Amino acid sequence: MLKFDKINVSFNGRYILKNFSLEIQEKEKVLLFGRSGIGKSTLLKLALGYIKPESGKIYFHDQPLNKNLIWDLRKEVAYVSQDMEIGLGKVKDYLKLVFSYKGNSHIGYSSDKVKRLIEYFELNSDILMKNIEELSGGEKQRLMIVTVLMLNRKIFFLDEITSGLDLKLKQKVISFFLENAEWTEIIVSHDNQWLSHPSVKLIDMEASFADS
Amino acid sequence: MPTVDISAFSLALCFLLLLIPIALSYGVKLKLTYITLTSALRMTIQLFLVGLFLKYIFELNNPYLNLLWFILMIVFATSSVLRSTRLDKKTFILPSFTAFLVSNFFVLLYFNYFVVSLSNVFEAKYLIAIGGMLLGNSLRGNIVGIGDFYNDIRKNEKTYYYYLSLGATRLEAIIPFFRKSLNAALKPTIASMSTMGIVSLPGMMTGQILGGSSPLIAIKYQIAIMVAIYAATTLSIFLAIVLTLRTSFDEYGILNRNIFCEPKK
Repeated sequence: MLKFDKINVSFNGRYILKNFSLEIQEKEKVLLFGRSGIGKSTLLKLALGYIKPESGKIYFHDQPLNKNLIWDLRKEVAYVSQDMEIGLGKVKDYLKLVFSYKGNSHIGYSSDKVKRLIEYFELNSDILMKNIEELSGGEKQRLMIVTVLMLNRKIFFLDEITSGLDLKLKQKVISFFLENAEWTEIIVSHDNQWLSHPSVKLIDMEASFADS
Repeated sequence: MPTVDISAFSLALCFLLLLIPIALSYGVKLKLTYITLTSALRMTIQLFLVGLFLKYIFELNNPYLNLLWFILMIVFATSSVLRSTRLDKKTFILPSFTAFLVSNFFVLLYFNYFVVSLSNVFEAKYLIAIGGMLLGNSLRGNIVGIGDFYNDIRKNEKTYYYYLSLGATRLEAIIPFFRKSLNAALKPTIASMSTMGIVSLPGMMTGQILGGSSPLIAIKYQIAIMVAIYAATTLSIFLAIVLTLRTSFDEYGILNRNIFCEPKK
């Protein structure tokens, strides 16, 4: 479904990814593992087209990523990352904006579903009326999760989504994502709790780096 | 009554007023003495040259020459915007110039033909004086408008990327930034429209009154020029951003880094 083929990325003369290859099958849950700075988040940003590889190819549904396919990918992939920012203004207006996009117009905005998700992820019921800048880091992460779940996407790029949460909530979020057999997920996390799940396939980035 | 001329001697007397800031600067050690003197000198020389030049242009009143002068003013305005916003000259000069030319020229001709009802819309006095006022004001708006727009996207790249990941088209992801910068750029013009006459008597009105016009004519010109400035400013910022979008983002919707002039490392 998603394939990285001999990817090279360097930054200021230092390789972040060197001759890196990885293939992710549909419905797989892949956990990228390794010290910080080894290129886990870079891999997700490459697939989303925020960074371009110096060499190597990325395939999505068996087609090489190009200027047309990238826009389709961005409509299929749910990206939740600590490294992204939601913006400013009321939470309600932000959700309205997201649902105003042409690419999302076929999905009806369901206030029932929002309410259920807000409750499930233990956010305050009045969060819609709050300003984004008033939210804590953990609340913003969960709001991003709620957003992509509203968009009914099936492929998830989850970059450190549990780092700001307390233990109980961590478990809840992890189970929520790993127990859905239909979803394809690439997970970047330092939390060991992800590992304890049998459905997770571990990719050790250190090993693949040493191999190259 | 014609305007009283200021003789060379009287102008010299006026320069004596500079002794106040100079004395203060000396007393409080502001260290502004040198720059005060050189700036006053530069102003004097520049304005004398422009005065001579305009006198000549007004006497000739050749439409082509007037137009050429107006276009030259636009070239200066464009390069001044790019210098203040630190945007790359090579990428931006042509689209910004076009934006300035189209918007200011359109509003200016409309103004001269429909508002002032000139038989010759290229009349030097109107083309250059009114054109200069439009340009000077849309210049300020553009520095804020186009500069804020690109710098804001760069500063909030994480938000911009986030919108893209949520399925926004390039345009959909850009629009919040577009609104914000256009808003910031137009607010000063809107504010000065609404306080006009109360907080300040605009330079144009003062000039006309001293030139012998009735205050009633002067206010009508002032109202008309403010509306024209607002229209030209809005149009020029809008066009400047729209015309530069294509080259400023790549096919993946990512902002090109080389549109910013960075200090060399």
